[in-house]
Amino acid sequence: MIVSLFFPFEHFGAAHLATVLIGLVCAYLGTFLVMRRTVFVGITIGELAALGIAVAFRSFTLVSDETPVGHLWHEHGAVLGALLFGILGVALFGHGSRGSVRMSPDARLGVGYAAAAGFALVLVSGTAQGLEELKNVLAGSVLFVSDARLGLIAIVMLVISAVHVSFRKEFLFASYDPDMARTLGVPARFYDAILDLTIGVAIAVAIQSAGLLLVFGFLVLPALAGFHLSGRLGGASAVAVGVALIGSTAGLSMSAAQDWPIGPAVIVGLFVVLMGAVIVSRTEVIARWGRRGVGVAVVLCLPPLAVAFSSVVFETHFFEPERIHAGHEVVVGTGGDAVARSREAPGRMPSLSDYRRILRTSSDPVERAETLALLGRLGNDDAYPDLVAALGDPDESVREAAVDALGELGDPRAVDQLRAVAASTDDETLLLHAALALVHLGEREGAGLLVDLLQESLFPFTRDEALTALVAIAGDANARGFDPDEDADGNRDAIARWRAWWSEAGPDLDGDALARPFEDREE
Amino acid sequence: MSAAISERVPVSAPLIRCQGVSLGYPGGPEILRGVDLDVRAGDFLAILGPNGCGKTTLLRAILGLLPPRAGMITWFGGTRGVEYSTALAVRPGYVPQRHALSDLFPFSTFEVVLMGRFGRLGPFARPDDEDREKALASLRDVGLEEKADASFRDLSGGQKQRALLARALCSDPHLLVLDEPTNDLDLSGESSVMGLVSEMRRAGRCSVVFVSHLMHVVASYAERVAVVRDGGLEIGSVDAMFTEERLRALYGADITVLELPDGRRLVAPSRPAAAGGVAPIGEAAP
Repeated sequence: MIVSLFFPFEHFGAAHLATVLIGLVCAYLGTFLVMRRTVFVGITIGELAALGIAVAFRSFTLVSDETPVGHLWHEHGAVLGALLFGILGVALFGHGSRGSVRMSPDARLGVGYAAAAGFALVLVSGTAQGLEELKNVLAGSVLFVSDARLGLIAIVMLVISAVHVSFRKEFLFASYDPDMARTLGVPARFYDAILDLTIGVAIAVAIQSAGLLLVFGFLVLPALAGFHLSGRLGGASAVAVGVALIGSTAGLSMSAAQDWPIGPAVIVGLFVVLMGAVIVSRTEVIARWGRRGVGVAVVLCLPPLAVAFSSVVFETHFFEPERIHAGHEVVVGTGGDAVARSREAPGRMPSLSDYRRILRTSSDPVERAETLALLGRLGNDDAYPDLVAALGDPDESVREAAVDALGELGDPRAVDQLRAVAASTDDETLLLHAALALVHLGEREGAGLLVDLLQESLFPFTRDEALTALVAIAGDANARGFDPDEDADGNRDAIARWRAWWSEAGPDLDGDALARPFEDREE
Repeated sequence: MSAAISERVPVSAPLIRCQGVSLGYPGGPEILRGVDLDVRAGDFLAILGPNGCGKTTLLRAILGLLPPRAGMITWFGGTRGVEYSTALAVRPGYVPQRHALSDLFPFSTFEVVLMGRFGRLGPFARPDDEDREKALASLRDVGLEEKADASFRDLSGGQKQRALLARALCSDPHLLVLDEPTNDLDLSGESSVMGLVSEMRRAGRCSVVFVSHLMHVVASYAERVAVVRDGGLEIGSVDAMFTEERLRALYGADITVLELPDGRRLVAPSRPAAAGGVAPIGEAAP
């Protein structure tokens, strides 16, 4: 009971767990950045890690993934690139680095940030996948975290936590008074380097899922709230991780409720908490209870608040897990990054805004098409405008997927849209999809369009698909002599028989008959 | 209470010896050269000189924080020259300038003092009851026991300096090394801090080396003075070094040295002559 109160993750899926893990560790590390006055080191290291990802994606164009080594590099190159460049950032801009008369430390950070961002964008400008990945790094894509990535995040964050538990007093001593530490035989530079390394690695691993903005927010805002609410380091650290916990949960909830992008939503939540902390720290509450008392009270209140927030908002606004599972069963076997990631993490809860982001930003038509298929399967009526908008997609396969998804969605508003597609298209494949979608929606005229296609179609594949659907609707396993490999002249008699069937049975076709072509798929 | 240094180290035995030492920061010019200096058990040595002359540089070398560019620094019980190591045979207790410590770290006074024990603990060890008792005893020694739970950053300047002194004492040092311990302190704070240091040294708990540019502090408390001048070092007793001729040469200004009835020396810049002085505001200079 108590465990589930404090660790309610299993109800919220991989995205929540990843956000919370990143938030907790970054909030704790942020206390060091704030105390050491190196806050902007965090964002500069993050930008360098993004450059590492860009370098990796650029190298993908040079290294084939058909060799074992190349395959490994394509699979893990982005993570390795981020780590290597994150560590490089630590070496260049860490606590031990110094400025000069001509270039102060903050000027160095500015140069590092601008140069890393510029180089990264230049490097990926020619690769659609790299550009998309870089956008993810900046904006975050935590809702699409795969099980493998979640495992990596968990391991890295646990190792960093273990290092900090082991060397906390050394890290503090080396940060606070390195000279005194060294005179007592404590190797301050070594511990400083290890501390910087943990910060660099945490940022490099975190930004690939949470995004640079969210990671930077986690590094700064909770720590500052902690220092406002507690006058002791232990209390400030505890408040910081507590604020990160509720901030990540509340942000996810608000993201789902208001359809906000998750990173900014969490940042807004954390900022509100920080402002509250600033106000409380200046009121009599602190004077009356003492900073320690306020800190303890806040820490004790945060987990139940997080649970309450989640149970109320999550359950109401996120897709139900069972429906996600159903969607996954359908799309298994198809490619596409988003869907593949979803398959790896069944039960997690992406929001509609994430699917919209893919539809809006993905340069991969396969990914857009499969996202549409998933939206159709998920059955959320809010997705209807997105499916209609996708009817205008420049890619033919995406338009077909949008038509299929409209049929699958079951929204009656789609009937007029599908009729318009059927009436206006010169593409017989799209016409076939529109006819099937109308049948899916229970519209008899869809079956009539399929009969027309038996005569008018130029391609055996289209004829075969139309025939299969019609045989299922007729329910008698009788092709009436139609041979899909023959054109209209060769099938003249069979087409006449199907027209006769349509004249006779068409007006009486009911929902059960029209649902039969899709029964196998539903199963 | 720790054992007196005389019980651990032979009286007047050298604790640290600098022979022909040249010092400078990486990439920077040479600041000191040919420095010969002995710090002995029972010493109360002041390093004196104008701002920017290299006092703190010498202090950092004595602490093992700055490797010599040439020459040799010998710590009692072990010798290291240009091959630099932080593992001193002589255990120093360092009191840095309090302004060098960031106020953003929300440590309590007790937590700051407890850091003096960290050198004795391994990486995974936590301070035990003995360490905590030692820290409290050090706070008692400097009269700050009641401030143990107070936030270090909320202490006054003099209290901070005493707390840092307690931290240094907490490490049970052979040698107390203080960097500008009375900077920006009022007379009361100055007297409190230097009185304590003097008391520790008189009780034989440790030898003392401190850096200061305040001549009255050096004249009042130190027994030996090392004057940093023109990249070199002149060493002698306070009596020998605090003469008007030497100080005039050191600072390039007229300085008056008066001897008080109790034997202490009072050092002050000479008053400018009335004729040719600065003209009152609004009047033309003669």
